[in-house]
Amino acid sequence: MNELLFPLGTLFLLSGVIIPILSLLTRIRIGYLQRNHPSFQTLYTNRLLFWLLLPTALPIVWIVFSIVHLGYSDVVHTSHESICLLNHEQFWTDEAILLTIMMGISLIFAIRIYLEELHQSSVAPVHNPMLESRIHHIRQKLTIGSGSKVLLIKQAKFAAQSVGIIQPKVLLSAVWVAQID
Amino acid sequence: MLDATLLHEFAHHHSGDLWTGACLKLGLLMNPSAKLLQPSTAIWLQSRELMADQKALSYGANPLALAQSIVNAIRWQRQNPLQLHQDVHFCLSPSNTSLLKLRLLHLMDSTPSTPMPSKPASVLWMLSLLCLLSLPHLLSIDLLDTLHYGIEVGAQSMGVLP
Repeated sequence: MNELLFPLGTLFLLSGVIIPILSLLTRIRIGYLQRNHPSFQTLYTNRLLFWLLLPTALPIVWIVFSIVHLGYSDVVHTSHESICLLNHEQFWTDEAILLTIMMGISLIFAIRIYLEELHQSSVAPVHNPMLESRIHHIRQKLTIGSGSKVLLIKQAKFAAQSVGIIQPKVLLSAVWVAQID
Repeated sequence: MLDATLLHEFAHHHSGDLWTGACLKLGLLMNPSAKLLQPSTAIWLQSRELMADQKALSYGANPLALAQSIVNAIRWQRQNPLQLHQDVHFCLSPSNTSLLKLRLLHLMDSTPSTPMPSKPASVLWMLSLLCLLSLPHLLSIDLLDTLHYGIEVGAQSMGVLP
């Protein structure tokens, strides 16, 4: 049970202190950027995405890399002295538990997002000849990478059924696409 | 109009908005203080629409047709508010009038501009990844040890750990 202390403490520290503080700093930074770079084209794209993801990604990625490095150095060199107060056979047991919990949480959230996308695509109109003919016409003019096709097939049942160049949400909204033509 | 709309959505797909959108969703789900970043997230989502409009023009979409399709879609959405997905609803919401005006203004201006290269952001991403990868090597694992030790000492002082 004591092995759970460090993983749970770290998660509490991350979610309760570190990530909120980083989010606050990020908000201040974004506010500064908005004042000094008012153009949509230069700011509100990848740079903004970077700042939005930073508060979550930075501490999590650092911890994951550090744990991997710790485990690797233990396996290869076996020279690192344990600083843990608990008595383990392997001193990085706590870190391994933390890594497992973090991977589990990420997996749960990723599955949730995937299921959301799948749910959206499952209620899409299955067959729309007019839309498909237009898509075919566009495909003749514009090429799309094979990787993107694979992504679509994974993302949505409808995308796999149909011609397959447009994201599921769009096909979901094919009802209004038909309305506006 | 349909061609213009499809080219707009194709631009979303071509820009990898599926992936970035999923990454952003994941990041915000894991962030307990995501509400702090909500206004900026909304701006990012809206700006993607603007970028997709511009890309659609560069693919050969008719700007006036695209503008008309946006107006028609908003009208249709007002009549059928429950039939749209949340994201689509958000992007076409009449409450986002400033963005909608900006989008229509850009389209009416009808000068297809090439989307800006994302080089600065790529540099930021690469630098961050490099720092994160090298940090454990440079500082050994002292930082992680300090964190580990600190948490356990804190727990011990609170009487959780014997």
